[in-house]
Amino acid sequence: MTIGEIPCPNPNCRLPLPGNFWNTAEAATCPGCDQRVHVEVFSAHFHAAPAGRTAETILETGVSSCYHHEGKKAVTTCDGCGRFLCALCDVDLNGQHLCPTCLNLSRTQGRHINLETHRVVYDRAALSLALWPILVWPVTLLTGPAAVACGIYSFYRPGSVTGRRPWRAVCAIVIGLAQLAGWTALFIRGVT
Amino acid sequence: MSAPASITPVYAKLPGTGTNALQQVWLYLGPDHLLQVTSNGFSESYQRFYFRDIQAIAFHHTHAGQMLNLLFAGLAFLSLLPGMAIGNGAIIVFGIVAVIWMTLLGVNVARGPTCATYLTTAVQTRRLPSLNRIPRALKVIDRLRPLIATAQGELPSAPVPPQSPEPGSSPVPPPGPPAGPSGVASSHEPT
Repeated sequence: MTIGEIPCPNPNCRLPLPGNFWNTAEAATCPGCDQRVHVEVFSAHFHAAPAGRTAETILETGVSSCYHHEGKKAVTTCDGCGRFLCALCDVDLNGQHLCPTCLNLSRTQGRHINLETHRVVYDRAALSLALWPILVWPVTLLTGPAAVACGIYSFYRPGSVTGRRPWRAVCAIVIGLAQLAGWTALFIRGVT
Repeated sequence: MSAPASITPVYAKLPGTGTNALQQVWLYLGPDHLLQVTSNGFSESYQRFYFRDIQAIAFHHTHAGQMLNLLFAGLAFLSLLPGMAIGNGAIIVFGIVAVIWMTLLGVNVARGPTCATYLTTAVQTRRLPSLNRIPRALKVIDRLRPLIATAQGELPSAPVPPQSPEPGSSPVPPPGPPAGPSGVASSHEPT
């Protein structure tokens, strides 16, 4: 896609829509697919891609060099490890300057929430384990205790990125315990 | 060596839920980005769209809502048929079932027409499944517009020569910023 070109949002059409289709109060009809379309364009669409940075070569003595590139001039220090970084190694992440090693550590250790793309949410898992197996109720003999265990475990694990919801774990524990009580009653009645 | 920890951003949920057989999708508003959360009931996947990177949000109308209307109306009618055939008290039982289908039909109509929404950045175009109703999509776009304008700067308002492409052709878009003459930011504001 080139600058100044917005295709029809219909994936089966993709006809480039000209400026008079953009930011209109009413939806317009795409001439390619006859679908009503609404296109909201923002100014980033007209910004040219920023030029990549290049590290400056050291030409004089007494200048600090990059930890990773000996011949390159240091421009900042890493907020994670304090090492000198050249412009090439400096990764700006929401105002923090990190070297690639610390960036990778942040991602793998889950220390920077904006780098997380996937997370197991134990409170949600506990509720799923407590509720869905009811549809196939004999399975609750196994999933009931699992829901209780998962619900308790969720209190020691981080919740969703969007916020922790302890009510899910509490509900899962209550439902799981109810299932366990039901099975216990069934076994006692079967024995006697 | 320890990587620095970040501050947990506060998210506000935007209206709408996208669902299919196995997944649910929600959209959250962060301090400087949109967060799309896809959940399968056990784990969540996250996609972030920073306000400074969003180039366009576009949707096209779909017929899913009309199909659902037809389905619910048909099921309501079919539910009444056995009751009318049997008569007596059966009409009440089957009438209750028909009322349930009619209620679902009413809810579907009240939620408005359906659409498919896409968000475009410089490197990707992603569908936003939670914005699957036109009133909801417009509401969210209205909420995002000032935030994106703050992050990117306002669109310069230059008049655009009207032009419409012929079907199947690839017209050349106007050079430079082609914002509507009536002003971009106020296009959805009540008059």
